[in-house]
Amino acid sequence: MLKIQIIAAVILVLGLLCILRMIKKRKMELKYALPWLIATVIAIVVDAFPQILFWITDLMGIETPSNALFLIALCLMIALIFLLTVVVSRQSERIKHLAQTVALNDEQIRVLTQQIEQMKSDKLSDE
Amino acid sequence: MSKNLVIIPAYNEELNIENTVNDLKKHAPEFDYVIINDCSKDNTLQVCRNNNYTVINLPINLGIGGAVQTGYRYAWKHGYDIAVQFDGDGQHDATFLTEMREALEREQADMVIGSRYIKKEGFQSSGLRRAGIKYFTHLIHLLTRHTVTDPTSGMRMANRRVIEVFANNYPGDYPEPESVVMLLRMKMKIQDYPVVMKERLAGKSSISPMKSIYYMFKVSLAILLERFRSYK
Repeated sequence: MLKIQIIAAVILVLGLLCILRMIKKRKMELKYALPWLIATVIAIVVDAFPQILFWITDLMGIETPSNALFLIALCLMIALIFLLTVVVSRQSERIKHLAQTVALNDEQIRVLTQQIEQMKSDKLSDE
Repeated sequence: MSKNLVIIPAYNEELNIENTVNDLKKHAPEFDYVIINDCSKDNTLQVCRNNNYTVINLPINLGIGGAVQTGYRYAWKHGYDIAVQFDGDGQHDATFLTEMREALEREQADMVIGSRYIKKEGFQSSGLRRAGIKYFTHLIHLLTRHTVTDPTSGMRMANRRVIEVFANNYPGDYPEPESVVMLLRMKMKIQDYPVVMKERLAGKSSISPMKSIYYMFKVSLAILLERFRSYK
């Protein structure tokens, strides 16, 4: 086993445990942590069996395995960031809608409270 | 006399919601009910308003987890002793609610889950779905040594302790199995009770076959993680 394989394995396993711990402590939603979890597990497998990387390098017609590794990692990062962009967009829309609903409700509550106060003082002045 | 609530999460149930509420009024009159309209795109809200039903109208769609949790927050806020989840699509049968409540009180359970698979009567779900449910039963048993015969059942009755837990913490998607493990980890007492469920009357179910694979994987992972959370 190469030195780099051992170092990578340690870092990846620590990373995996870290992600799992954050989910456990409710600091991260499992739903959104899934891509990271899957990517880390795949990385551990490739780290243990580098032949997979060599095979992919040949398959894609790339010159060296390290080039292939960087290419794959970059593509993965881009895909992940893109996914997050979509998620953020959706959240932003939902928050906007919530803000508007709260504001409209606040106004309705204010108006109703005024009407109740008015009715109460009308009743008092009738007596 | 305990204060009892039925939580009815509803998404696009304009065709079924009236039958569901009528079933409840007829067979479980000692229960109040609240419909949680999960931002339905059809006329569910209008049907509820026309009939003057008690509705909580969510401003955005939260999914079954968020909708049900809203119900539990309502139950906690209004001081209910017992809250039961009841599907808005007509699959659940209100005649079992009184029996379930009696079982909960008699056995001093924290939660009673209506299970299709004790007496195996009525609608049993497709073979594939059943296999999936069996898988979860085994997984939960492996991790908690407790047997839950119908871990995906949406017909669950909870006491005040559980209402408080769920009001504060409830999983987002596919919440049923994960929330059961959460309660078991808190050393709550969970009982199964045999019920009969019907086939969906109208409309579509919200779980497609593609989602089922994601469901199996995600829930398994969630259950495993739940096993390792610590509770005092």
